[in-house]
Amino acid sequence: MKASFSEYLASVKGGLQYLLDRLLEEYDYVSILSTDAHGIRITASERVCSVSSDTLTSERGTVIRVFRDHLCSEYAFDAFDPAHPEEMLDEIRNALAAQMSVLAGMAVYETGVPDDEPDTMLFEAECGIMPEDADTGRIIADLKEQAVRISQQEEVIECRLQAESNHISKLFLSRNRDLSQSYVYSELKCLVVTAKGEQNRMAYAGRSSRGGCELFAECGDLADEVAAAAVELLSAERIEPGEYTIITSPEVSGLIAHEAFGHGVEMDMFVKKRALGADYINCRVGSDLVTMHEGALAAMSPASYAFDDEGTPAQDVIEIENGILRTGIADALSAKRLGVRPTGNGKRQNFEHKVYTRMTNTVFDPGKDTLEDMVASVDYGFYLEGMESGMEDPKHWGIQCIVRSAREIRDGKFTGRLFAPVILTGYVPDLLGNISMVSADQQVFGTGFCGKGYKEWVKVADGGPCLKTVGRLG
Amino acid sequence: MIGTLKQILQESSADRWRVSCEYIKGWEFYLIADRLDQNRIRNVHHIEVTVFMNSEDGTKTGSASAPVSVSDNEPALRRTVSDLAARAAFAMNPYYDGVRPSGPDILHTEYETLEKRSRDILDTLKTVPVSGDASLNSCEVFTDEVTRRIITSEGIDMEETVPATMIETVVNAREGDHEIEVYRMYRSGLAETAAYREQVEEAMKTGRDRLHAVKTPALGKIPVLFTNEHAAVLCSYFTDRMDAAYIYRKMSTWKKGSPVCDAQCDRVTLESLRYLPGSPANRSFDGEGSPVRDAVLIRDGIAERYWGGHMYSTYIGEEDSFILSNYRITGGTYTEAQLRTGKYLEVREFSDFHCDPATGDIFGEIRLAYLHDGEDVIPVTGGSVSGSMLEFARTLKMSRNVTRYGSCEIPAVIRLEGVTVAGFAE
Repeated sequence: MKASFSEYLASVKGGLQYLLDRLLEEYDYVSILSTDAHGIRITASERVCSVSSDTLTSERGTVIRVFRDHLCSEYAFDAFDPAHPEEMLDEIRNALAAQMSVLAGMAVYETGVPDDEPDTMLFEAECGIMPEDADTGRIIADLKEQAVRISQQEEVIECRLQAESNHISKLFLSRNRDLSQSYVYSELKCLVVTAKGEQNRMAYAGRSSRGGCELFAECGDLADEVAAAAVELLSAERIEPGEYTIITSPEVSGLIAHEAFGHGVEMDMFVKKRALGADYINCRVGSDLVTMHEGALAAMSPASYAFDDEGTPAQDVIEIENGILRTGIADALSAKRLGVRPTGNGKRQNFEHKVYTRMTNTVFDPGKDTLEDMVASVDYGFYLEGMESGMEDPKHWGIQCIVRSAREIRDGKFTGRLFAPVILTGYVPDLLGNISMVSADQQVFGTGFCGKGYKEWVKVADGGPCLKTVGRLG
Repeated sequence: MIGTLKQILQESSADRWRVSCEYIKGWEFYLIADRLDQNRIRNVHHIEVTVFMNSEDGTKTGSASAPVSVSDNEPALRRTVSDLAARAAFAMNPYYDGVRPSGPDILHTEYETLEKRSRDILDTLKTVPVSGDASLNSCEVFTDEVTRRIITSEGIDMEETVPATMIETVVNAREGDHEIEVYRMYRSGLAETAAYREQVEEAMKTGRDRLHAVKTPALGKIPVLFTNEHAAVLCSYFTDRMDAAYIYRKMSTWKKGSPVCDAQCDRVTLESLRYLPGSPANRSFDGEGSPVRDAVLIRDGIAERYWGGHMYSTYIGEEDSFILSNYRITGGTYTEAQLRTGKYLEVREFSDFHCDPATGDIFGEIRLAYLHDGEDVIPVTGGSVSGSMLEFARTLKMSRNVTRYGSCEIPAVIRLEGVTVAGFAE
């Protein structure tokens, strides 16, 4: 079935069109983004369970963007009576005028108005079981059954399963654009905590899809996978810091693609001269084996959409081609400032927040090698698996990636020793330049959120094949 | 709308209910160097409804929550409440009652208009010293006025208005063609322009030093000093392990009356503070309507009282509990000079610094640190720190003097012994 477009947005569209038309009489450019997103999140452990419709992507509201005298201003609101839009018009005018009084005399970073090529769209994605139709009782029972089962293991102190499904609808209006989209994404996550004496260990994994609640049937398999990892971590050793040959699992490859490289080519950072990548367009940043895609169309994941929060259609951009950096990604304002085309990567945390250039799907292309051959080629090194976190450093291209564990490889074979946790640091061009083997498979992981610095959380996905390279571990 | 919602809830089958509201008026300014990139206003409402249903035998309580929109009409609100009651019946947990009304005892926080706060911050930015070797790259200013209200079926109806200010700043330092950046996030209630300006100047000094930093050598295990907001990350090891949720979920085994630290180290005292001057988290009541109190949670290294949400607190028998907002950690017995002895690394800048309270693991990539080898002080960059608070807490050393970062007041210097510093081999 199709994920139907929001009835609420359809009901307010007329009032928003009125606002758009009136504001266009006063401003050089006006656009409106109105969003209605709701979902369900069900969490269960052996001891407690909870149900909430308040997820990280829940929102309902509108943001109006206007341009006058090369300055962009925005007004975000959620109380709106479409039968009396003139009241909101007065509110917007008065509020922006009051704020402008504080800004009198301030120099403006002048920006041309965004391009506004004509476009109309109504996109309603296919979906299985909608979150509105979720069988709450059945889902809780299933999650709890698995959590209780896993918690029977002696070392396990908690198994927590979380099932979440979100229905997102967005409406974008400008003088020339009338765009509507509606889609669903779902996630299943599992956290298992084990203990040996005072020492706790945790393992976490998730699965995601652009389908609906049917994903939750995989909770048993997921719980088994995570529990096995958490139990194994109890015997993990501390790694001796140093530079090693490493093979990254697809999940860790995705973490590198996103954190180590992806942030470095977000072109709003080029505008601020905060990204080293700006100096490397059409230069080598990795080995010949490295090709990387980025875009809402680069994969089908929870991070995919039909148009971004500025009304730019989704795209699939080849950022790195055979080791050469070809382009970054840009929101509409950054694109205007840099004289390039926007790439459909203008995203807001929600309607209350500003647009930034943000990633969607960031994925390494697969190669031709097998994991077996890659492992066999290692004299001494590690296989890195499990994503914990990462932090970007676009100005200096430093790397910080925290991975769950590293499996020791010696003389082309796994030794059975496990090390955890592991921090991967280094310099991006070195890491990518040392990639010498790339596996033929590819996986995309879509349960994550990404911050810009320490705020502005948006849905992202990343992934790739296994990569063999050299990295500093600690 | 709230009146209508309240009436619907009173008429519903819910055994208990809660409505949490936040009305936020905010002004935002985005600057690239000294020029205005964008200005924004937000005028938004966050309203959440929670419905509680008890089992027929009274031994269980289920709950379900949902956001409602300020634009929802009565039929939509009735559907939401009805759905919540149905869902709550599936999400059963051991029985617990609701937060009992107490107060009202509303903090009277200082107030300034958004206009004044914004103007003060923008004026302060104009005074930031700019030189050829250090300057402001960009800045994002967020000034909010947040009106919070909690209404419950038990009779709680409390409201307060609190300020929140957040300023994200990036400064550049350069020497010839070599330019680096330093990132800072400043959080407060009102705009503390003098303290913010100090932070910007400190960031510029850090940037200048980082220009001359050499690669961090492979140091093995070495004492590390934490002397800025990263120290607050370490303190989450103590605060989170006293969280009722951690206790109930058995992720913390800290027992009241038992030591949380080894007797050989400085003995931590952890206190909840209802009011901390300058904090963005001064709250009269928490998100469930419980009054926030001054309370000693850990005294001289002995666990005394847990904090947490009402459900988990009830399960572990902690009465009059609340969700922690501000806190203070004291117990240091050293002067700063005493902590700065021998060979040690003082990390001033991480890419990102983590402390996992459940496992005790710490890790972070070094962007700038100072290696003190007993004679020289060498700025270093790169590499990482790692280790476990389970070990570090046994030899913890802290300064007597404290300083505030955001919503916490903690020792100005925290010294951990035997931290693994992964660097570059010579």
